[in-house]
Amino acid sequence: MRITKSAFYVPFICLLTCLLCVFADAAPAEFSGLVPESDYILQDGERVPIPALYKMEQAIINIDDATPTFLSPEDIFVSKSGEVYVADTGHNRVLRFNKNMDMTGSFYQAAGIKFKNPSGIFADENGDIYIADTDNERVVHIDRAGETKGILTQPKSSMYEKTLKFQPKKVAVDSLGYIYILNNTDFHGLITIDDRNNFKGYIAPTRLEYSFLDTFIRLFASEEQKEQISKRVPAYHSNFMISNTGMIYVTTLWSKKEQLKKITFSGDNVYPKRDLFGERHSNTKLYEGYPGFVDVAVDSYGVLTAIDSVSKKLYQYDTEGNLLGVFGGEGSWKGKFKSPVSIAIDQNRRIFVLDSTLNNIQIFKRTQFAEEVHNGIKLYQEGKYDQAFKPWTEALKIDANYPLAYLGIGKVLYKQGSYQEAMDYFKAINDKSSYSTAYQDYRLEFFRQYFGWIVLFITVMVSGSVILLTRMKKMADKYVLTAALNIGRLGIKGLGQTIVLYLFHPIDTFNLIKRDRKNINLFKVFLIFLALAAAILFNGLGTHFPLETQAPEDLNVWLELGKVFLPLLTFIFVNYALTSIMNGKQQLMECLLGILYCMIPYIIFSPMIVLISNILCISEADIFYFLWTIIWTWVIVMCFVEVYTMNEYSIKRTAGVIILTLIGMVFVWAVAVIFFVLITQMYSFIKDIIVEINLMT
Amino acid sequence: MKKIIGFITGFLLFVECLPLLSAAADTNIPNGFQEAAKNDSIALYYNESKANIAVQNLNDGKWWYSNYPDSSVYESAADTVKIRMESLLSLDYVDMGGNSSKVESASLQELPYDLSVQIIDNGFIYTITITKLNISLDIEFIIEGSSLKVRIPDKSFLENSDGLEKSRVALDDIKKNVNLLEKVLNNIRGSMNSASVGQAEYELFMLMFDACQQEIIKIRDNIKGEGVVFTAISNIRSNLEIVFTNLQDTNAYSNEREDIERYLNIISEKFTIVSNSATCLVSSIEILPYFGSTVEEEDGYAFYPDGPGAISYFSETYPDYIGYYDSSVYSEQEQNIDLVNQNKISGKKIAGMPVFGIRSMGSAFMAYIDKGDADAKISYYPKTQLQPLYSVYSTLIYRNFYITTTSNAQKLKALEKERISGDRVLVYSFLSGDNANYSGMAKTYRQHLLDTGMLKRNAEVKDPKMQLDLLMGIRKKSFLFNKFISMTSFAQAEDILAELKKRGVANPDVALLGWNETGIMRNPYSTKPSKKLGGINGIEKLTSAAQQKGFPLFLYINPVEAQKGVSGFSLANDVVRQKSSLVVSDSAQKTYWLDSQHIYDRLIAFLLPKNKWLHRTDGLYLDNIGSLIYTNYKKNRVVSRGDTIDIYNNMCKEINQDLGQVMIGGSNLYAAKYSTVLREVPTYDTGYFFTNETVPFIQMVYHGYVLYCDKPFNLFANPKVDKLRAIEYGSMPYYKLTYKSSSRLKGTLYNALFSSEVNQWYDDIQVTNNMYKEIFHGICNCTIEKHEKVADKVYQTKYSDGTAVYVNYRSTDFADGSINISPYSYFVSRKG
Repeated sequence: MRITKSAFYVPFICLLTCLLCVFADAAPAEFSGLVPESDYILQDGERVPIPALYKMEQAIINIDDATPTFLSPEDIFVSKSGEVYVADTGHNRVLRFNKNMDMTGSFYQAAGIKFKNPSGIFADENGDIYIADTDNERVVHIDRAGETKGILTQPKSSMYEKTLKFQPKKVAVDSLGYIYILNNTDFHGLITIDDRNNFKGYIAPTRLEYSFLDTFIRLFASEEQKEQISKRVPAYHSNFMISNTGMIYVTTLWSKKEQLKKITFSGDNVYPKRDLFGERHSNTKLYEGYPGFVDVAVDSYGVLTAIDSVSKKLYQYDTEGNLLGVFGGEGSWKGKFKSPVSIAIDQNRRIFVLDSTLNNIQIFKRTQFAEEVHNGIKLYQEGKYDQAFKPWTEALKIDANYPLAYLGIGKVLYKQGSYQEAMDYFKAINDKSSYSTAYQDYRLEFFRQYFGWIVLFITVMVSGSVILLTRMKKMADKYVLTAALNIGRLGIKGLGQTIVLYLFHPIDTFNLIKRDRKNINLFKVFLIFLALAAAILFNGLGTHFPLETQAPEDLNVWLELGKVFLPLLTFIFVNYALTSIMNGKQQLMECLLGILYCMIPYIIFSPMIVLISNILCISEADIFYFLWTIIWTWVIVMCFVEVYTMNEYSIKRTAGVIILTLIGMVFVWAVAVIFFVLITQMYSFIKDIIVEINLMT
Repeated sequence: MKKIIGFITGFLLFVECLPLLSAAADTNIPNGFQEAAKNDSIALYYNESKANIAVQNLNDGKWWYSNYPDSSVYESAADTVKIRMESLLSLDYVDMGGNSSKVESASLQELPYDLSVQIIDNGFIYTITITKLNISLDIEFIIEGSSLKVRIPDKSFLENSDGLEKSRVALDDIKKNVNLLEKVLNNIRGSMNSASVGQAEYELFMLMFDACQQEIIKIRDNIKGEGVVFTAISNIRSNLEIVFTNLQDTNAYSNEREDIERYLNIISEKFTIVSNSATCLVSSIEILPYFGSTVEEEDGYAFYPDGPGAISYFSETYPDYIGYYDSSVYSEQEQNIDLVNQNKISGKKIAGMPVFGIRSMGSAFMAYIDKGDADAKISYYPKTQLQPLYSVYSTLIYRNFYITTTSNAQKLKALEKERISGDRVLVYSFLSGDNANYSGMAKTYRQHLLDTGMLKRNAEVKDPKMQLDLLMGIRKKSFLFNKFISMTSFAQAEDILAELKKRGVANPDVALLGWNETGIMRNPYSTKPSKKLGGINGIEKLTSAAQQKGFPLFLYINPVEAQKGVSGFSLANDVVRQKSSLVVSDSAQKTYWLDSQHIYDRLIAFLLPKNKWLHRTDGLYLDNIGSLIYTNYKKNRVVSRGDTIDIYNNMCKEINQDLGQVMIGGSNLYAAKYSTVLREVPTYDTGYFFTNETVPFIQMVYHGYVLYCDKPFNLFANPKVDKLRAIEYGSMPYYKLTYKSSSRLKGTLYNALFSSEVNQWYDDIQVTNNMYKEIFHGICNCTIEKHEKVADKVYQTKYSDGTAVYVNYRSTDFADGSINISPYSYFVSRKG
């Protein structure tokens, strides 16, 4: 087992959490005040306002005098030529508009049968229209003029799962002429049919998510209950679109992972994996608040915009799955939605959003800020790194805190070979992996440049250490001898000497402490404490950025110190208390000094690890953790030796006492927490009474 | 006898109406209308049978009807809507006898009502008695110049609860008087036995009799429609008359006395029944909801105060789900902190001025609420299938709803019993010719405000003044204690001012935000300058440095809010309470609103006298004062929204006297009276789908009297467009700056300030400053006389000295005669 810093503090952190809960109860977080009217991004789960990305430019409410306006429309599609198609589901019709949003065509039937709840639409370059005629259980293919060119019904293939009704919801056609159909809630995936109506199979199935709770319930469930559970079906696709590059972008409803997918022709999801796309909603318990993505649109730069039907917001991501911003929201005015159901992007990168409650189309235009951001992304993708620099800098002028701009500039600098500058930009947005990558190259460059010096430095260091260690070993051996010769008289005076002795002969050192129990120097104890504190702080401040757990500026000194000192002091106290009733031979001061000596490996070697960490990057984190494991193992073994030596216990007994000490520590903390809770409760009780009396009078 | 009196009254009325009847014969006057008053500008007519009114603008001949004259256009509408469209007013009420948490809505024509007309000087009074609801009220219509004043006197507005109380007193008086009468009668009888009736006794009796008569009339007036009571009272009256006529008959009184006693008992009983059963309380009155309402037309629009002002053309019929505009005046009517926050998030704007208007057929009217504006709403309905007329009107609120908890812990909506008192006055001003548009409306309103002293020039400013906020410090929540994050220390602020001076920024208004121990966003504000920023010495040095440069310095405080856990206020005494006496807080129970009297006291009695150094600054910047008012149901008395405005005004007045200037956050009308600068005066409206244009109405009213600005320029997402909008609207340039990087604000409540580091903005400030100097040189004290759309995406703002500022939002050049504007740019044409 790897004992890292965090592992050691598990029990302590648990208790601290309890403590924090109590605190939180006493004084809840005060985040409520400024609620800005703006778009935002998410950083460490916090919503950070950004300048607006889009501005509503035009709303299509009325169509023309002769045509009744939309009624619960379900799908919108913008063709490559800029024509806009709407599946006006409630009116059982399909409408076509030109670029200026004047209606140029309306279609009501195909092959003599009127459309029934048509809810998906697609059009190709020729103006051929494919309609998912949901309640007629067919997909129809009509030409520009409305002449029927083909009808696709339920596939006849044996591979097709026939138990599910064929109710096509959405449809799209790729450049090879393959037709993709989303069939209602079918979790097998998208139905693929070739242009001759042959079933080609499913693509991109959704998988049932593993649930620990279910497995747990299954252990104890009755047969009927098990059957209930087995009826659980995977989250299903809600929509999809095919990009110019032939990628299929799919949205999944209420899914716990892979809410947004980018699927290749072979069915693999190549979109970067993130813990969560969108946000968990706290205002609904439905599907545990997972996002309800219902449609997605991707522009030619690969910038993806998806609709969350719960928050009625639009989430925009770049090709790497970085959130560019969130906009929209609920309301019945411009730029807000009631039921956004479908989204499309035209060649001018305007976003069209169809709302099935407001029965309108809102067309959004990018703001100057969004234009800069998108240009940055585009130029970077095209490899024009020099040019990409400008839009990102412009974006930073508008929002000095916009992390994507930092990332963008960092990446440009990295590509240009300015690793050190790139690292600064990555560090500013706390992007450890990008920083690491840049650092690796920087380090390589540095090594190349100063190879001779570095080899020299390493040689000097290694030989120096070897010499130092041998000398110290000799010294230590000499001290042991001196100490043995001067029993009861001299002891060892200097702290330095003691430490050298301790490193090589710990048992002798503990014995010396016992022997010298009358002469324990409190100043020495204080010095060790001070050194320990210094080591802890150095550890917090000096660790290399990619490996640090917390940014130095966010470091809470007292918390960091407390994390080491509190368990240490409790251990000393409990251990002393236990040994004194279990025939132990140690006294309190000896125990204190003894355990403090146990921390000496930490004091001496952790700064070294911290120094070493500064040449490591994330991929070498294992080395870093391994070194820490060594230190902590050393410290723990020393503690064992301390208890064993100081109390003159047997090994078995030592182990028992140490286990009891650990239990005792937990007990002490529990009592402290309970005590604290009681005091706070009493405080708030009295406070409430006073308030109430005030109210009465 | 009664018949004769009735006949005479009828005859008199007839004679009185004769001239009017003859006027009605005039062919110009629409059917059913009679002239009530006329002056050089307008003529006022009434229609008794339909309870309608009409106004003719004599300048252009345009007729304005309270209800659309041609009922055929709304034939297809639902019956209730049709009746509403024919009514002078509609009201919301609660039947306390029935389901007291259900709000009923009814329009006048739906309810049985009595109407009487009384002609007065320059107008007439409608006395409307709605028998079903036991409500009666007077509506006065008076013309003054080209305006129609509509007034509902508070005294005349009687609901049976009021009436009952008054009648009960009157009844007691009658009972007393009847007893006295008996004594007097005995005296008379005594004197009759001895000799003849003494003159003195007789006079006394007459006096008592008169008193009784008067009380009876009072009761009759108060309890209109209560048949039993009415008969009983008439009977008492006749009984007394009998006693009076048979004064000499010794038995007469004792006979009648029994009867009177009986009738008095009947009335008492009736009172008990009435007060225990149905009692209707009015919550609000929609007054003249269809005044000037119309169908589609070419060049007409409705104006409503959404954001800076918005207009909706009468050009298309919208689908029913399009919604409507509906906004409380000044601040949400509900005591709801979450709602206020929600509005900030969603961008919903609240009306800052109690105004609305219509332009129709080349003529226009603008209306404003002159009295009772603190408790009112403005609504605009676009034409839809369900609602086939465009209409804009105001709703007068008389009672608020509140949430009460029943004994079984259910939450119920209830209506407060006490009515919000005070007369309600609406003024409709009729405009014609060049003034018949929103610019004319703004000019009219501005003139009214100037005449009544609601708007005045508190500082003489000719050239534009840069508005600067310096964010000094904020507290960030961290483990165990709140860390004070310094963004700009007092010394750094001095450097900033020096640099600005060097760059040619002359006399900007500088406000210090978060200068105190609490930092910004934590309230009640501390009165001590933060030690981390440099303490009292630091701020004193900064003040004198600013003074040397001639930069006015303002200290920001947010006096309205209080957060849990911050000391300086008492939850028991100082915070706003609901009607149910619960404390008003947000749903997280962290934020409260402070009682306005407490706000006043803290500022005037505590902050000002205790901080001598403060008197060397130029003024205070009071946030939220101009955008938030509320009712506080205090234990002993209610502080109404109107009272809150008065308290705010007094406070500003005193600060003005003490320090010299006040800067206010918010655009509400009352804030302009004592301030020199208003921050957050919106330049964008909410954006309803039926809104066709945003218009700078508020700006047209304020410009030349108060400086104003909207959002900080350094937070624009669309700098090109947004700056142009500020120029178009005459908004001052405004920057919110910090010395240190705004990334330090991450994780604080002020993280919306995403780009504020002053070093990044010096150049932009300089450019903007020069641009503003060029455009606004010499016109900051001029009024905006006209604002209009010259072409698509090109607008013109014309100032009183003849200067015209053109802005072009197009991505292409715009050329028209001598005017040539490049894309996203402006053009200034000066006269002389």
